[in-house]
Amino acid sequence: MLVVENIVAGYVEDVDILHSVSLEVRKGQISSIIGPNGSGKSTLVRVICGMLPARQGEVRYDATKLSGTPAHRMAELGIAYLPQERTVFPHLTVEQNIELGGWTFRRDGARIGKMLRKVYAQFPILAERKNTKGGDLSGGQQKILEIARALMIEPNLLVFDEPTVGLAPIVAKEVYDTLERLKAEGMTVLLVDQNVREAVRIGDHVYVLELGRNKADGARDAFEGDLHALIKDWLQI
Amino acid sequence: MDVYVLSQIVNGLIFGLIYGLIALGLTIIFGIMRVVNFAHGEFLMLGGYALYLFTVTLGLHPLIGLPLSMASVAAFGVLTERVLLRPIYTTRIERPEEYAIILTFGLSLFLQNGALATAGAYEYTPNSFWSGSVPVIGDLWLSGDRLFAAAMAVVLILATLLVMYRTWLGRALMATAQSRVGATVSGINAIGMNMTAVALAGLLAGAAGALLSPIFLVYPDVGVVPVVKAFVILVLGGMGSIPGAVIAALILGLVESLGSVYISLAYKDVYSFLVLIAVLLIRPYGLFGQKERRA
Repeated sequence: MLVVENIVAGYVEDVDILHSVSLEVRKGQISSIIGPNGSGKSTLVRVICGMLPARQGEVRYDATKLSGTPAHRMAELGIAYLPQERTVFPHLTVEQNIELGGWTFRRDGARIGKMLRKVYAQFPILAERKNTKGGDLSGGQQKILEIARALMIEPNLLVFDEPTVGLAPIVAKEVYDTLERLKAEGMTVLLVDQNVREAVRIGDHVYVLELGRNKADGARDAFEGDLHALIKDWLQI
Repeated sequence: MDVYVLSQIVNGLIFGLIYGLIALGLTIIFGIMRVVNFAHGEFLMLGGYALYLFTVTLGLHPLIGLPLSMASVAAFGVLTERVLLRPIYTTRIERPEEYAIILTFGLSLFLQNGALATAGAYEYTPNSFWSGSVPVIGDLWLSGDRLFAAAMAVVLILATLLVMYRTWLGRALMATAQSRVGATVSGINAIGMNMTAVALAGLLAGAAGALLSPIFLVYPDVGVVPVVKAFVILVLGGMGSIPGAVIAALILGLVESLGSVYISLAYKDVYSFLVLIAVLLIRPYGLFGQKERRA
């Protein structure tokens, strides 16, 4: 579904963060990218989602070439990107936040209404708080709101960068449960996570990045046993 | 209440409304782009010259000249965004805010001197929208141009509020102001929103310039004093707050005129700053200010 080939990218001239990274996300699977700090995980998803241009290499989504596509076009293509930072609109209400997720089909009021009801059914807490300002929600609820907003377009691919960073464990569990539920409904997910244990547990296929290069990859079962050794290796103990 | 005081209050409100047009544009640009447009007074000046060009040089009716002037300034605004301001968002430059300040400040000087070089240091008088005077309340008469300016300002302010609070476009502009990344991942073209914001601000500044020009005429630095007041309004209302800008504009207009009546006309331009200082001491984020975001 999503193919990434030999991506080279960076923020500052002449300094590459990604030296050559390739991966493939298969339909209906959760693909996890793990790796220590500075391995280029977030940079890679920024390249995939059009927030950062690649210097070399190519990203393809089904038959579409994604490289060079601006980030705001991803929603039209059915790709939902959830960045690591908070992106809730703090002074708009929960409902206005969710509705804006349907920006690409804003002229279809019936569809907006239908999707809004569907999203509320999935996340009742948001329905309860629909008139609250987005910025007044707790950190965990804001993350749920971001997921709800992203689901408005009924995406085929969800690219999720560090979903649970800074969240309480009980909220983090809710986020992972949501991801598994979405997968059961047929969603394809590309997950970047520092929470290695969870990323491996829910991932069908795991990619390990180190210093901007592919270090290893394989099906989950192959990793679960080696996890301990892998982390030890990163920490160099 | 005697006619003099009444006339000052009415005049104060009229100027408050015009300041509101200027400040609203400034607020929209600041809210969405986090850029303080120091050339905003020159957008106003261009509106005045444009009205002269359309009504006197080309002989069009002022009611046709007004929308044309507004559109011309909006087009100039879009050009400014496209050529000068866009690099702030598309390239990684250090200190984008400082870049924008120097840039718009330079543009302001360039436009003032450009007007001086091409049109000369003369005052131009565009054709009136509504010549003559009309009785308003009792013995109070007002010039038709002032009444027309006030009425148009009300219409334009209401239209702007309608767009901002009742349309998808307005919602998207506010969303972009609150989280550019959030807007982008929702499918909103944030760069397109920058352009829309500058176009909207250009329409409003162009209208203010055109509406004022039959009353105060037009010359190269005609925008300098009004824009300083708009900056006061921007801070008074809370940087980036749209209702704040409208309310602060009316307060400023009233304070100026009442100060002139009860204290002294000589210090007309000082009263607004006194109010500003007082508000900043009590509420440093302005009347309707919100938490900060940077470009």
